[in-house]
Amino acid sequence: MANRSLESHVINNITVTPVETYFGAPGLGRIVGRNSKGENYGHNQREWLLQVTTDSGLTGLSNARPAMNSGGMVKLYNDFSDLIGQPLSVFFNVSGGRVTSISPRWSDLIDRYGFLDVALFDLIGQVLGQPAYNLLGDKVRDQVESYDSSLYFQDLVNPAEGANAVAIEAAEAVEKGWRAVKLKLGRPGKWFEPHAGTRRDIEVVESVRATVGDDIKILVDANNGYDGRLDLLEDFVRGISDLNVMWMEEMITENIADYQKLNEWRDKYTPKTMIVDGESHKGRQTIYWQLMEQGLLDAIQPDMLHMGFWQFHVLARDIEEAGVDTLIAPHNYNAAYLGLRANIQFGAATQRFVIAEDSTLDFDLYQGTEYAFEDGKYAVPDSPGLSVSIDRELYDRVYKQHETVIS
Amino acid sequence: MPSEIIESVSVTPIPSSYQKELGKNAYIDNIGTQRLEWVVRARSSSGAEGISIANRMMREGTVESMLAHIREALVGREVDQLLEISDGVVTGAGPCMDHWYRRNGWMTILAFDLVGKVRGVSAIDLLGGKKHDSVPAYDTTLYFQDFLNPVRGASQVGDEAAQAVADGWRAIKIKLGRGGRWMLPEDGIRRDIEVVLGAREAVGPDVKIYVDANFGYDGHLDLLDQLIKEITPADIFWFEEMITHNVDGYKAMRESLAKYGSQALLTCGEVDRDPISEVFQDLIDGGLIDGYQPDIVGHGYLGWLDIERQLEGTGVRAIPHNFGNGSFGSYASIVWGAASETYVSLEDERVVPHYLTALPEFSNGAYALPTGPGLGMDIDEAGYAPHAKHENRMEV
Repeated sequence: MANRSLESHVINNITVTPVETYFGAPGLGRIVGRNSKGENYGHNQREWLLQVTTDSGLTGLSNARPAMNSGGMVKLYNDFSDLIGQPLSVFFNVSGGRVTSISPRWSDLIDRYGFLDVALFDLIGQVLGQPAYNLLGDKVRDQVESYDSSLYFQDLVNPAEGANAVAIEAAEAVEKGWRAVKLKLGRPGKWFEPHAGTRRDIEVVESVRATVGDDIKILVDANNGYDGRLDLLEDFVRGISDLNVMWMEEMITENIADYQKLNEWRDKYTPKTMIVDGESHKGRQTIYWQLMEQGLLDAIQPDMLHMGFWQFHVLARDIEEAGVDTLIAPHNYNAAYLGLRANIQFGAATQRFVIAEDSTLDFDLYQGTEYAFEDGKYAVPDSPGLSVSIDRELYDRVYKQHETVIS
Repeated sequence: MPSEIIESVSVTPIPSSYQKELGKNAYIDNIGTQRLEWVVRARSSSGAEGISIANRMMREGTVESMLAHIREALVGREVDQLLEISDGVVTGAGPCMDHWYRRNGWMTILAFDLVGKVRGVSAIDLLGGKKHDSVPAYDTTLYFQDFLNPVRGASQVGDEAAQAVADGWRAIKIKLGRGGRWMLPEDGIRRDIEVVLGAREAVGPDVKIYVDANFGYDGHLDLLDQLIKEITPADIFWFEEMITHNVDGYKAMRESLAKYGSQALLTCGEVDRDPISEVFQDLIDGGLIDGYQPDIVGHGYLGWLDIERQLEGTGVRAIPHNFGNGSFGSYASIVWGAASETYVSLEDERVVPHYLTALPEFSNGAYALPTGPGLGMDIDEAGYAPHAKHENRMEV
């Protein structure tokens, strides 16, 4: 990169393109099932590939899926039209190779579209010749561990197998290299009679532990499926007491009194298990901050693409300054390929980062070979920006006809 | 009718698979490959079994709340309390049952099935007797398949339409409204037009084509006018939910149809939760729609009998919505279609059959009528067995 001056690189084209991919591979038919409240997730996931291109020929990548989930193309088009003609220097203050603050002019847009700053960090990193993580701080780890996050209510997808349906797919995840798996629980919430649901939840954890052995981390996530049933939640926590569960996520909707109970039971039955929550976190004025201050939350989980690098960096700084012990484990389920890479970059520079959520998807469109996956961990790339490029021949042949151009 | 009671009721979630993956429509993300049917089996003291699906109770509710409702409504209930019958034809709900049937139309279909089986008569006869010898069906699986197979793009819909015809269907419905959410409006209409014209070319002139935009043209009457102009040469049989129901919008659509010489029907009503509500009544009274489409299982047979009474003399035809009702919905629709004077066509999801006995013969785009008592079908116990471990059972 000859010109390392951010003002010399002006955004002149933005595209948004739907890109489908599959769990496993197309045609294999693996369906990701229900969670405690939603219907089948399905057997694929789609990324709304955001490409922000400059007049110097650089392209920053991200996944615009949060915007497509909440609004749609017209709103995104209108809101992003202002970006055209803007030099890369206007969005953040960059000093000594680090992003130090956000421009007030753009903070609202970037706050609403956190995924946008992933593309901007990608671009800024490319201009400065720095990996995206280095714009936030020094590298604190060379590899980032991830967990397979696709183990939903597979027992309802494959009823003949019952709880073992989850264990079968957990074993497949381990076979493919993951060393941590997250199991969706909360069957009492909607899809099962509550007592039967609690029994099945425990049975699923038992079955998976028996199948994957002692060395694999097991995380559980109930999507608030024990709301209103604290009696059953205590049964559950007691039921997993000897199963070495790494964390319990969103067991109930967050409130101080119930979280005090949950912490009590955790301390009593399975003291090493973390309590995590906060997918919907947006700032200090939330219940999550109170939970953190009261020591009731071991890790907080805002969404990677909703937050983006900068807001996450501010959150980590605020937690540090507040002197609380809460760690950070970004929610990333809908983030697909690019969101996971952003997560890895964030984890590379963030001491209190725990583990990356991995929906285990593969895309033939992206080239990111530096993120080598081995023994459950992704290598942290040192190439500039996000270290991901597009297979242009494939893009032009297949996906370009579906792109929306903002220029 | 012998006096007997419902001795047990079970509710079992059973996954149903489509023949292929279904993509987006104008406003929701991919449908996917599998849906869940909440199969309700009510067994009477003589061993007769009424069947239905309670999917709609699970939209907002939980298994716990559903079981509580069903227990109160059905367990221990005398079978002859379920329906009011006169001269072998159902005239209304049985005593005290109105309350339980309200917003649970699925339960009325179970009642027709069980009462028919106990009496040894077809539900078609309980509905007043057959009006047709077969029930035509349309393939309703042509979603935004162009997104699922980006290499083929719009041609993918044409490919799948041709496959539906090769499989025996003589009518297809194509989802439109891409500009509603997933594309810019101008890009979306171009793709919509390309899809419809491509599909017509793929299926030839003799296959009926319906289009359904799930309100994807809201706020874009100008584009809708252009769409009607561009696809009228493709001989569209009906336009469904092109915009959210409102009198002015439907007047404008009627004018567009007349301007471009289209004979197509205008249909809507799937979203009418309490039929016939005011705005739909206005559309009916104003002659602005030709077909009315509340869901067959959602409103059930008693609900639809009432709707048909209200539609009588208006010229508006009964076209019950059926998407999401899985294997069971096909049976429920065939029976209703057989007995409905103005019935047009069965919305066919073409679910892979597995837990019910075989559908009646399908030939030349239409189903033969079932011949057995009730709905003319039963549980295929071998297909049901793998799901039995998730059965929720309630007994007297």
